[in-house]
Amino acid sequence: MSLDFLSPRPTAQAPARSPMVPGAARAGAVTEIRDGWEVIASFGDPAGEAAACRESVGFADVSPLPKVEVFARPGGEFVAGTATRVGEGWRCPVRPERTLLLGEAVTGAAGITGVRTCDLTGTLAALVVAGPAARETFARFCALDLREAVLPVGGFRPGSVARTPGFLLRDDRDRFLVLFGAAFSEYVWEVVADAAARLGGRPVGADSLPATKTEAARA
Amino acid sequence: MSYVLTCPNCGPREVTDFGFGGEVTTRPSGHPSPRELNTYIYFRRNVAGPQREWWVHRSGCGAWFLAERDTRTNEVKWTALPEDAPGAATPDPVSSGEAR
Repeated sequence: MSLDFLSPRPTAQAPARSPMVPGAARAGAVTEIRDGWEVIASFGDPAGEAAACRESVGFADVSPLPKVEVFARPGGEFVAGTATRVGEGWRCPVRPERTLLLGEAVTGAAGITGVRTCDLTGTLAALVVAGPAARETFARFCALDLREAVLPVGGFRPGSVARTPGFLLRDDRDRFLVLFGAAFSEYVWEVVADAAARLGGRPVGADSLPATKTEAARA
Repeated sequence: MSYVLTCPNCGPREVTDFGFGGEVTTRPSGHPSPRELNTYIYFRRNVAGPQREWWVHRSGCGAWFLAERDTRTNEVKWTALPEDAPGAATPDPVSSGEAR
């Protein structure tokens, strides 16, 4: 294990870095600085990455996704296990008094006063697992029932993922977003890579992800 | 040994998702004697049969809830948030004097 992190070299830019970047870099990741984050843009093979997402399974680090936790008793009814789409983001109910806002839904937290909010963007890492074999990939390290009849699009499940506490959201028919503690990132990356490789899958860059959304999800 | 518990918020999950919080006890009120405090802290009924217990959904929503589980068979009769739990049926060791 390298101890380089103890003596960081000063640079003109100091981007936030997902803990999955080192593992991805060993797999040939090409990173770019976007919105203050070092983002895994691709793995140098856009056609291969798109094919993996289309034919088997691709997984991508999306840790820069904004995540905010809101603690408040909402006026509306608490519907466990069902997230609500807010633009390109999601509002995910965890408990009656605890809600997780993802992506564009975070902007809705800006105007909230009188409740406790907590930015979890750096605390929770995130992976998108997409493709026809995505469910089969999860079946190798996660006991959650992901059948479409049980977990339709928008289904949200707090639970154990690869034996670590996490959250799982089905954000499209063959596309899942999984959130877990950033400290477990390298381990989870390895677990997912191992499971996906046996199904013909591979890591993909963030640039390949828009193509994994169906028309319904884009609308 | 594994079995399934139902989180009141998240639904059924394997028991490894949860943390065990021990059997339900009643905190002594007023000015408890050292013997009562000692009993409250160190003594448990440890029944062989249905027992009311605290659990926490550690890997999920993080909620603490109550469950009634048969300690001989691990059959879970019900789970509920504290405010929704059925009336107390488990005598606590302090008031029942069983632990003395």
